[in-house]
Amino acid sequence: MSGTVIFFLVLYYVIVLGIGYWAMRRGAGDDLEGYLLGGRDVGPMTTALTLQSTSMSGYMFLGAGGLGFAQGYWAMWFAVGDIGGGVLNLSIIGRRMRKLSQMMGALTSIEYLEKRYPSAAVRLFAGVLTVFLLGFYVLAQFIAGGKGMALVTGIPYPAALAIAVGIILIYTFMGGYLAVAYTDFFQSIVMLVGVMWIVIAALSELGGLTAANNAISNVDPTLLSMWGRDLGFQGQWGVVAGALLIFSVGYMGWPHVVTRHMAMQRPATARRAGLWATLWNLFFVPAPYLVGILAILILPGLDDPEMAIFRVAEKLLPAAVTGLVMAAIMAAIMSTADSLLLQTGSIASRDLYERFIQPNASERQMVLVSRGLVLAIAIIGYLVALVEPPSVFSIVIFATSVLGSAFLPAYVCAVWWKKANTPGALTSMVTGAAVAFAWEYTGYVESTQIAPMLAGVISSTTTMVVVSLLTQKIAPVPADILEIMDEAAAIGPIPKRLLATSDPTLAAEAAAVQAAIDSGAR
Amino acid sequence: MSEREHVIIARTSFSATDALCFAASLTGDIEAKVESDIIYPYYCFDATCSVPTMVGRKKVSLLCLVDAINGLGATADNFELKSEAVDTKSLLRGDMGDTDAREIAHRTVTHHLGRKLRTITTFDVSLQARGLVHKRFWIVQTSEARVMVDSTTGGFHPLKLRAA
Amino acid sequence: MFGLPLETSLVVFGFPAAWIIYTAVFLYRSRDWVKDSSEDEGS
Repeated sequence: MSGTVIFFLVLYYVIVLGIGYWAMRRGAGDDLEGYLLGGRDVGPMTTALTLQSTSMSGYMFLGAGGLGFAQGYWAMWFAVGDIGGGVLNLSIIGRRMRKLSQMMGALTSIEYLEKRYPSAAVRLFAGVLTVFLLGFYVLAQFIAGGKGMALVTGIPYPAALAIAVGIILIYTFMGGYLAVAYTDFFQSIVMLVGVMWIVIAALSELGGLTAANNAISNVDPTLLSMWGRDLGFQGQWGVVAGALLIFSVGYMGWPHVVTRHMAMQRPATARRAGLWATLWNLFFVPAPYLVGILAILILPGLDDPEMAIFRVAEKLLPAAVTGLVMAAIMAAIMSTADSLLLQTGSIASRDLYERFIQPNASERQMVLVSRGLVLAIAIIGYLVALVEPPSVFSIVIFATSVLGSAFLPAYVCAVWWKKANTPGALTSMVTGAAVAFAWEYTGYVESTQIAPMLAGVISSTTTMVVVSLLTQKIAPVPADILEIMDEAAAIGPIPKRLLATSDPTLAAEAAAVQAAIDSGAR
Repeated sequence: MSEREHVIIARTSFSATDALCFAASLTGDIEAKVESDIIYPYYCFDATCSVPTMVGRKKVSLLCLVDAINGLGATADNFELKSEAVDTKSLLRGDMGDTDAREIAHRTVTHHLGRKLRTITTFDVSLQARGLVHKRFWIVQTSEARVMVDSTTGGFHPLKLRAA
Repeated sequence: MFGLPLETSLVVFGFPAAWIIYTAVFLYRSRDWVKDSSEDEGS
């Protein structure tokens, strides 16, 4: 990579730091407290862009591009499911989860599961499983960051990987101020422009989409089919279903996605977020897969399919633009890794350490546990990424399959089904995880032609229903939770419009007031 | 003669009339009326924390309220407080002790800061208890529903209709 | 379309179209969620 690229890459980070600094100075303390109080929206578009840009990660740039290069239009099965993931999640779980979590006083998505399905086992299993799988997802970001860094700077992979992991750790341990909304916004804009530029450059290099597809047809017509190279997946509907499900409903198993519902400030935000999510996804989800497909023509000799997008950018974009775009992409990857590590640290300290080992843990001890785990993940992740890096695609699909299978019924039934009880939830989580895991590592995918995600979701959902119904008498859902669910669903002769515009943060007080009135206390 | 008690209460920005107008416009019910008010208890804490910034650590103060009935904590904007005599019939009491409230406040502030600043670090949160403070909610009866209106923010939430 | 076989075009354009419709339905059904800015003073 040329010096120009590196110069602009560095320039990007200087600008980001500058914006962060300016934002801090401008506020001179007041803004910091205002920002911390957290009630303030930074505006719907910034919110939306921030929400969406956090979904851009190593998977998008390496995994998606790699799959497109390897299998052609087959990759689009994953894309077309993903496009709807945001709005689906918001419309199904969104507001109700917000209210339910608020009223139960849950701070994390794992605590939320324990409160809804009272049992220490729920918390323990969910916590441990999530930490384990988030670790995999972090590994994917390390690989993406390391490879990207190596490509841009020319530094050998081991050192580049170390630098990438190091920057991620700094971000996580110290970097609060780098996460100011303004810098996220700037980053989103650069990525938006960058990705568009790459797509347009690739298409114009090939004379347009139709010409490109015709050319691909000359290379290998099976790449234009929906069944993959050499029609390898022909008729495998179980695998297709898995591809469709993974990023449409699989997201509902991700704590950092589900947590967003808990933090939602007002219903109107969710509504707008749903709109923006779909609009943004319509372009940005298929884009990396498409670039991967076009790379078949642009970079026919490519040895590592997962480097398709980076290499296309390197080949087609002016050096300066490559520098800025690569920098934005690296920042997105690191920001994703940072979010994941924060989640992991928080679950480890709050949901596992404080809950099970040291209930009177001090702030300092909790921070130590968090940091300790993050460091452990960083070291293990570095070693795995160094010695035998799996493909980003395979890691993310695996982690999402297991998490989605384990948690989808738990989160959906938490708000929608009053009969979903603790035994049902616990067994469904264990079954879903076990089945998805086993499916991945045995030969079942080939023999049954069913994807791990599909097998996992079917087993966990069935288990939830069957076990909950069978154990209704011995383990009914506690009455106070049923009441809270009613409140969250707002059952009763209250006009929808009234409900819809009410302030969700008052739900708990309303319940208490209601109880006081009902008991004739006043 | 109703009994009255002195409590610390947040300044009422939305009067009974405001609440009434608002509920009436929301439901289109011109017969709406303010039935009563509820004085809701919270434990109030001033939290001083040290947060990392680009130029070293900075001290910030936040207000944290813990719902004395439900035990839910939340950070809050500063608001004016004053002492006022209120009808004991409107006053709700919680059975939460202030030790528990302090723990909840600590957890709420720490969690909130960690989430907002996206960093794993200690915040050295120290809490100064201000004791119990209260907020007035107006209970407005309309033909469609009963709603409670937050007198400090104007936010509202429906309550179930009175059983016939 | 765009030199793609029919099957591929149906999937690649059909699903996104379905999601657009889904989103439109969601927006329609949640149209009451939009608040007046006057009482929108959140905590």
